[in-house]
Amino acid sequence: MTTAQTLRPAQRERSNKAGYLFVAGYTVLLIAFGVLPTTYALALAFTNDQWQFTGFGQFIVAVTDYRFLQSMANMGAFLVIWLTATVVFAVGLALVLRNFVRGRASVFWRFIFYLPGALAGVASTLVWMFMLSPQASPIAPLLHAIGWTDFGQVVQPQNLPGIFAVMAFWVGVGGWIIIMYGAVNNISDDVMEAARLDGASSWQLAWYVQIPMIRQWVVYMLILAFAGGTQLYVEPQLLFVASKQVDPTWSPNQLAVQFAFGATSNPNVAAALSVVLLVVGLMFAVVLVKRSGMFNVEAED
Amino acid sequence: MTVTRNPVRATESTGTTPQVRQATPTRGRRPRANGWARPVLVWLILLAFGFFFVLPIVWLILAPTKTSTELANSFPFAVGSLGEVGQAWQHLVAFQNGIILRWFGNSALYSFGGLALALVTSIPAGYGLSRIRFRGRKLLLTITLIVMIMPAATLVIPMFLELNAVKLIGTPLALILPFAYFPFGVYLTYVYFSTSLQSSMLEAARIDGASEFQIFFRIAVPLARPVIAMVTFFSFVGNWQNFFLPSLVMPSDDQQPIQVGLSQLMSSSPAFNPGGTANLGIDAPELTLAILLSVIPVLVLFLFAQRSLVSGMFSGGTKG
Amino acid sequence: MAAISALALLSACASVAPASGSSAGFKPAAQDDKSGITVLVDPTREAAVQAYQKAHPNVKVKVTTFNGTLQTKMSLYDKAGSGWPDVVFSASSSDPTWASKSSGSGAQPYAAPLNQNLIPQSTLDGWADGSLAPCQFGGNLYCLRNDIAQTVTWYNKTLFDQWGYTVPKTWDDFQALGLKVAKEHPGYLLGEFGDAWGPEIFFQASKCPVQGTTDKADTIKVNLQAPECTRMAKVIDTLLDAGVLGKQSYFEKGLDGSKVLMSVGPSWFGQYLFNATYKVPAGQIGVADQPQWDASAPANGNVGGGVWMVSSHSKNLKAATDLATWVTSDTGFQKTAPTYPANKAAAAAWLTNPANVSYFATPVKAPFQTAAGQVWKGWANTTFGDSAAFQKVVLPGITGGKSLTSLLPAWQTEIVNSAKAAGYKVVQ
Repeated sequence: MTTAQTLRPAQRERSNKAGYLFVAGYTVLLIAFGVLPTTYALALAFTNDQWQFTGFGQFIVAVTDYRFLQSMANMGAFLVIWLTATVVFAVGLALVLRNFVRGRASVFWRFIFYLPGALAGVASTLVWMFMLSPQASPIAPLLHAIGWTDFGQVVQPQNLPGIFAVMAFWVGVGGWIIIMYGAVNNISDDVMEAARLDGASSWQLAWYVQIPMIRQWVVYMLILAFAGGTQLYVEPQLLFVASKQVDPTWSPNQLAVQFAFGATSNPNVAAALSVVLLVVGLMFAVVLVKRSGMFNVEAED
Repeated sequence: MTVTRNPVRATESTGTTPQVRQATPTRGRRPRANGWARPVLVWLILLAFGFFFVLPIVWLILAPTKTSTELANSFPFAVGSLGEVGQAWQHLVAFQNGIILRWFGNSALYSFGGLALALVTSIPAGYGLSRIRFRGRKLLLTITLIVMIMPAATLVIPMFLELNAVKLIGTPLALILPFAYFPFGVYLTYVYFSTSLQSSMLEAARIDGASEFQIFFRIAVPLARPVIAMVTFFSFVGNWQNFFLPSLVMPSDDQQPIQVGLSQLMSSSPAFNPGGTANLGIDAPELTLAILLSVIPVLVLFLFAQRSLVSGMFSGGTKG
Repeated sequence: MAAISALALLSACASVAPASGSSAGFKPAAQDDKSGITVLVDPTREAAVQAYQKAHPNVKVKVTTFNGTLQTKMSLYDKAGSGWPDVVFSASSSDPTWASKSSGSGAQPYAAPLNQNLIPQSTLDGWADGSLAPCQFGGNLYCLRNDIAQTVTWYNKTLFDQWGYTVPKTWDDFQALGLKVAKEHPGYLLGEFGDAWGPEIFFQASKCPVQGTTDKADTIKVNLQAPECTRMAKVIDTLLDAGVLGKQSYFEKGLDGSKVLMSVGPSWFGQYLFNATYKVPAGQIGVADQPQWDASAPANGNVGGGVWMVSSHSKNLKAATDLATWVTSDTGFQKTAPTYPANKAAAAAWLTNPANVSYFATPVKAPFQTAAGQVWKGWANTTFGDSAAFQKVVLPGITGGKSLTSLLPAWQTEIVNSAKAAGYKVVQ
């Protein structure tokens, strides 16, 4: 015991230095691709191309651009549909699996739901473009029944938030089902037993016991999904290239690219828009985190 | 992510392997008491979603076996002929002198390169954050958590400008280095090492005079297979599927990964682009074949990782 | 309130606009006559580059096809400072407008001025009058015109003769014919309106100021409520409602080309659309002058007509310029092109090519030459794409069932906004 005590200061010092080496590589990358781009974006957002300070000028240019409000509205509509669907079905399907399916079947279904995640990105967008093209789609009769006889009718502006939400949902909800399943699975059996003995039906069990106990996970899902959703780029970009009838700055990220590389290239305005999106994402996260008391990062053991 | 309610920790708190749940009398009782309607409803729901998720993939697998007229007219899930696949492949390779092979090679280079660097930096970092006390540990951890919830795409344009300033645009490093930056991997490793190692073991080794590196390599790494597998999985898949960053930092065709290449194929194809000439030979079967091929590496990885992914760490061990 | 004024105060610090990059003079890179060249073309022009390679086996030519937004791609290269293709083809004759200017931050303009010791004036004189206008800025020539896409009337002579129709000479006749066809032969079309070039075909020919020229290069005139515009919109709406003007693209997958009875379209429709795409048998398609509002002051539209540009950063300007010149003026190649060449000698060869002569039911020379001379010059070439606003606002609206007349205000707003965002001043 005394040996250990006398050894401790020396050990702690040795631990210190070694610790730096362990995190060195990652820290360099973190600075290079986490911290630096953020500070670079901030620096660009408050200056012009001669590096003179412009105050909030670039932000005003970005926000008063005639395409800004529309792209934010588009993203907002998409997020509402997609987040709602994701939360409802990720939790719902996880509960269904946990409460009514067991063993191999459960694994099978979870894998099926997760499978589309393999196509995330360009592949899933292209596949869904085929699914929605009244000429080539396997569900063409259904599309015709809705009155969509050519691709132009499918990509009408009012359909787009829903279409992108379906694409994002198809690809992403599987992963969340698995995580929600894990969360539900870890509710101690004693709690479940007690509720059942009290006469709770499956529905009441789900609503009054399981869902409240995975609240933190749902918040976590909302935050990450929101962050992911604001990154919408591939889907509207591909739809624009393919149909040419879709707004080329449908999502704010596309607008940022236009600012940076478009006809009047102005990286400072692009940076200002990026900062705006960053702040929106962070604000959403902070609000959620504060309200749910997450992020109690405690030291271990 | 709260540490106090960590499901992984929850299974670990007993210090022993979690009990394997068998079907208990209480679990079996409920459904039967409610009659036959409940299971049928459950199966309907599962089937409906199952079809929704799987049918497009099945269609994709069958599509290259048909010609484009067949695709347009015949039953969507009819199986065509393998000969058609061969034809489609010929057309794909003929496009711009086989650039599709170049695209796959690039994807492999960037994805594996990024993965290797990510493993080399993230695993030790996660271990260090969780098991070694040093000044700045909490700060680093907090920053990591914050950057994890930041929307990464908003930083792509600043990243482009930054990479441009150091003249890396158009070189493989322009993608490999950003891919190596993997805070999520650090976080996974941190959580894993926090919960699956016995502090007493490490302390004992320290007392015995082992250096931190020896402890890491001799004790931690051998036990770290599951998390290494997970970090590998998420890193590789994320790298392979990335589109936004590569589309900006790789302006030339022959440096692009397959994801960007696919968008080029699509825009050169009359399948979606009215006015695009048909004489380049890239129609729906070729396009779907290219999509399918681009997806196969990830699908294979999914199948391999299926057990640990779906029923492993995230699902709270072997419960249910 | 206080916050806003504080913001306003803060933003009064320095100008936010990027310092207007001076059109940095043309400084050629170090030249190497032996180095290979890279060419960026759209899928249709790949054949042209391959033909050049075949005729010039000792030149190393690498071709890449690209069908996206050229301006964004060049901007990326400008920022990266390297990687530009030596020769580029663009189907949009307004691309040289931005390519002749710096993209900002002191970058050298992408397009090389061809008249400065690269191509002799005697060669340049071989192009049809006015065809090189989209290439000319500040006294320099920044591109070579590939083809003229003057609009003419294409019609199925066999069916016209069979049903006793005459080719309409005025737009009112065109409308009347349309209504007649709708009644007598429903399902047949007098054209499709779902492509990006609706403005050029109909509104340019109607002298409507969709993006009208003014005497200042940085100012354009936009007024879609002018009578020249509303009269055209009315005709289009009438025919759209009757179903005789389609809402799809001419190249829509699965379209039955034999139902296109007549089409006011560019000169390249003949071979490229009716022959290659619709596979209409030879001897059926005739050509005539397009309808006019005023026979004494005729005007035609111009749908693109591609341009070839040479990179100012090229290390082998000689080979690059040679390729650009060959593909646009070589009579052996151009006479087989699907498009009507802008180069005079090539055009003459095209007109006498038996393949062209025998395919069409009527002589093409006269209508083509008349139309080429009548393209309305009041249509400005701008740095922002001419069809972007049309595609964004009008096409989805029409697909969604709205009338063109009702979409004119929204279309105008979009054009004005794009123009202002691109730095133009707009007058009515």
